[in-house]
Amino acid sequence: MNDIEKFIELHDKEFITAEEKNILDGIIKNDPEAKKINDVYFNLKRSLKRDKHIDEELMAEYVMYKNNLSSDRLIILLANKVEDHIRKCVPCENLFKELNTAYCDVDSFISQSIVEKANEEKPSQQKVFFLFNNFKVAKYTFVSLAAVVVLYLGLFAVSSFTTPDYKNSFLDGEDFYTTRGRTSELFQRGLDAIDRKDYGSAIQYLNDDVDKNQNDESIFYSHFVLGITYVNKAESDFLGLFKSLNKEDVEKGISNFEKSIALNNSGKFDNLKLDAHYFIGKSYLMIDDKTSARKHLQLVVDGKGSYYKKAEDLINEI
Amino acid sequence: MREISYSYFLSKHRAHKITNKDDVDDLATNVYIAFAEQYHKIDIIENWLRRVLFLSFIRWYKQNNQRRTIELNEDITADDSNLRTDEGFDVTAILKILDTLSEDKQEIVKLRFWGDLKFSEIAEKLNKNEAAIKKMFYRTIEELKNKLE
Repeated sequence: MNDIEKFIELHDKEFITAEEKNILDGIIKNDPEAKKINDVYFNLKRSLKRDKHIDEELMAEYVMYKNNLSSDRLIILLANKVEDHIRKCVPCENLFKELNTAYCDVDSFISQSIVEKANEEKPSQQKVFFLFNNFKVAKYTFVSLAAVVVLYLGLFAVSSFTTPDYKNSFLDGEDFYTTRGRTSELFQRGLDAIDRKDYGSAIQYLNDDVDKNQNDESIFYSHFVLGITYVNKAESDFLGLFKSLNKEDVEKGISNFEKSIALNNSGKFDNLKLDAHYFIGKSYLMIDDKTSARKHLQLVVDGKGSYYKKAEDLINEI
Repeated sequence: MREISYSYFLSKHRAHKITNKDDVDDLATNVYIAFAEQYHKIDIIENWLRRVLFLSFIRWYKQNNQRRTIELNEDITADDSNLRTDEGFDVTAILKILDTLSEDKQEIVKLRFWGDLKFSEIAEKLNKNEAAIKKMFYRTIEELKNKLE
């Protein structure tokens, strides 16, 4: 046995005598190589070993084993030990549940990714139209543009006067989905499409998500985001003026918000129910149904939802 | 491959499980690099991806889990407290190098630390001689040290 072996053997003892401790200390202080071995040994142990609990990576292996993804000899050898520990240790039982949920997310995500063929977005073709051939053309163009600007400003003033504030923007800068806890790929693709303001594609992804995963516990998130997306899609205007709405899309939005409320029945996400009521209220305002709007906004105020203040302002405004 | 990985880690970022968006890029890149290194021995790509995405996320989660760090400090034994390690030592680097060692060596180290098994118990489980197990364990520590230098 060489010095390094002796050194590690001492290190690995459960209990060491005072004499052995002095030997170890002496080796670490006087031998730079031993110091490096000490560092590697200690940090490796620190990275892998939990004296009272199961290491996260071991638990992850166990989760994969339980989900029939892993048949490594290592986890087969340790599975009984892990199971015995989980039965006795609440934090580790919770860790198992947490990691099992994380694995189910990955599993569902990959399954969706394989089934779903990515619809490659065709790059938008941008064309340049504007060419000035001579000064005369430029002059007429400038005069025409000036006339258009004056006309636009006039229309803007009329539009602002005739459109109530609550109809100006459905989302009004509200960050509606960054806290949502659904991870299916179709859902994520839907969010990406919304980021691009491609509401048609977003609706397609989210409806596919709802069709294929209707039994998922978190499917109510997809209905919620579908509601937001339909109402956003419903909005249209003329050059940013005289906002108009496709009533059918707004109604589809309301229907999805209602489904989101109905399916969100675990009791853990009641705040999201109130958020859905808030957006239902706003949607009814968009189609001038103030009575229904007031009813849903009042629920948000009464339940002290996250949009409580905004709901109160809207009730005062109508 | 990178797109799927990125999309998965981005979903974790959106769910506030991964707070820093740079980590999303890093994790997705690591999965892509792992794929480039291992593609020739992958049997079922879906299962490989499930395993790698899950373990990448868990290792990230482990490194960022403050709670476990606190518990770890409580867990340091009297013997460990006598040992002073280099403050700047990269624990992640050790685990990455451990991943590159032969399965036999990884198995012994993990049975020792993960399973908290004695050398005699490891020898029994692997149906090998205890002295041989000890020798391989020592050599593994030495190999890790050499690869870290």
